Amino acid sequence: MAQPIISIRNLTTAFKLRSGWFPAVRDVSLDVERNETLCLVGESGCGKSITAMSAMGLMRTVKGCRVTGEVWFEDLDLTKLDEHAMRTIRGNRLAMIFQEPMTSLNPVLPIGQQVGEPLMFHRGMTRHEADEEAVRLLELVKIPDARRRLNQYPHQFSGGMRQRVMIAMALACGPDVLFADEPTTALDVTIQSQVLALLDEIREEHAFALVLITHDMGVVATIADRVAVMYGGEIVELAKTSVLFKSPRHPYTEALLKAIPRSDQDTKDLCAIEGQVPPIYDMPPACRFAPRCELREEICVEEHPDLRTRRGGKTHLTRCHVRNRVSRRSAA
Amino acid sequence: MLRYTLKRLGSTIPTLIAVLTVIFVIIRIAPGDPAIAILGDNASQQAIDALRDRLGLNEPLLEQYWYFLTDALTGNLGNSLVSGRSVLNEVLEVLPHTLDLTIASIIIGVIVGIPVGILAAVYRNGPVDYVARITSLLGLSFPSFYTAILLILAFAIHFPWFPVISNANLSDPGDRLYNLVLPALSLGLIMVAYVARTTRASMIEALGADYIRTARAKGAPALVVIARHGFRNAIIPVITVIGLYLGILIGNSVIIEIVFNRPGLGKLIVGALEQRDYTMLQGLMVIYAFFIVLTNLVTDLAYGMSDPRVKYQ
Repeated sequence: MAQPIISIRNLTTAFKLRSGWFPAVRDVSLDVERNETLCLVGESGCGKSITAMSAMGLMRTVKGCRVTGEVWFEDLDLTKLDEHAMRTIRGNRLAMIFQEPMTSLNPVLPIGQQVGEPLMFHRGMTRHEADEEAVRLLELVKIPDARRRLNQYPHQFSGGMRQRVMIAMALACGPDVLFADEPTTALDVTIQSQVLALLDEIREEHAFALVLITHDMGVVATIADRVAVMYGGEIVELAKTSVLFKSPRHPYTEALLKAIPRSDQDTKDLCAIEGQVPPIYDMPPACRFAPRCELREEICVEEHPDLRTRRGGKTHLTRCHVRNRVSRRSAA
Repeated sequence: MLRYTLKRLGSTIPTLIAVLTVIFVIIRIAPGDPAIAILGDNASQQAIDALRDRLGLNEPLLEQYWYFLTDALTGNLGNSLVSGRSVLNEVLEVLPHTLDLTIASIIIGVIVGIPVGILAAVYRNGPVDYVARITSLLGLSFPSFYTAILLILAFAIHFPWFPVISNANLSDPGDRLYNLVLPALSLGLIMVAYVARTTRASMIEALGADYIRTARAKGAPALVVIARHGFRNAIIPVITVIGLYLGILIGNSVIIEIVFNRPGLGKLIVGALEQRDYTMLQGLMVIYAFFIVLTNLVTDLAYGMSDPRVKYQ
């Protein structure tokens, strides 16, 4: 594996509740390479967004929230930087786009100003220079008639167009890593694929690392190079996309894949995963998926499983006692 | 913005006519004959008839309405029954005092209330916030005349820094300001409380919005996040409250003008009431209505400036 552009080590983000501190993200380690698309997948509340927000340093000002671990970016541990230093990286070298294009743009500022702002913060551009650059950025994300739309406000844009504006804003300073938190979830299906295709195209062209957060396995299959499956705040499986889809190892990943509705199969085979993700104050101490797992054994409720490869493998990591013990062939 | 302004200006005239109509109707349906009320029960029928004729009360109702409307809209508010002077002139003479008072209290409310509200929201549940919340609650609980008396006791009598009776010489700006301090403070402190509380609430809402997260993700400095992204959005409810209380403030100034024995519309009203000066009262009602309509116009224009969405609706 080449030198990762960003390396998250043992990231834990805990929230203070009435009865103590509870981790929403626990011991997450991830390396992302330049030029790759890594998908973080999992159900709502599994800690995907918190992982990205923590890496961006956006959780540090949240009251009752504590981030531990390391986030390495170019010989810098971002978790050790003060807010002032972090601000010079955020929106500059690391950028993020959010799920809700409707509410993520400021309703009272013109689009041009919002897109140009990072350039004024990080490149010291004047408003006029930033506006000129904003036109180029809006054209990059294929917003027609960009110059005229510069002075328009978010309410004059459709959902898909607003998400393009968000992407333009995130790309303003040419980031090395782009976190995209469910960028297409709030959009119509046809618009979804347009925006995804745009993201993919721009990433290829500009060679940054894309960390895409999604719960849509269809999106994963289209765009991801590697996939990290999260459950209950932990990564339970990490593998190349093709490997994960062909031979998922963690029972949760299997269940996720089975839960995708497919037009070429009878709908009665569609499997839902029984139960729900437990709340963070009521996480099983050992394997977090154990209560919902069909393969559950005694050890699963007694001992916390490690995320590791099976003998011989290097890139396919799984956090499962059962699957990491028996070989896949004999289990099948 | 120009189209919005013109549209909004256009809608002011029907509003003004509607308000004038209400004033006209209220005066007509109020029980009692104004002529008898003015002249007293012992007046001769002859005198009453003469006055009714002078007041135009013998004309057909529609004709009275037409004269009232056209007179009011052209600024002819008749003559005072007591002094015989033009109502408009009497009003214009004291209006600067009332405007001084109202505008000064708004300015105090804005320049103190908004920063306090913002600080309280940014340091929510911290010491600043608690102090701001408790003092603003106190500010709201004290009626303005009580605050006025306390201020007089403290800063006019105990420390004789300011005059007890504020009758300013309008041509001397220094004297005008000097006489304005205590009255403006008594009204302004209430304004501070209202503005601070509204600013705090809407600022807390704005700071929790998704676009604030976006701004932080861009690497925006804290001040830009608070001012450009937070406050630009939070100001809209604050404008509403200022506009709303501007009307109440004009009413409240009546009391303050009496406490400080200060000339102004308030004292004019009380005098007119005591002396049954019907034309003066009617004229003052028209003037007040005009100011309220004007206030609303200014508020709406301020909306248009602060929220781009308003213009397109």
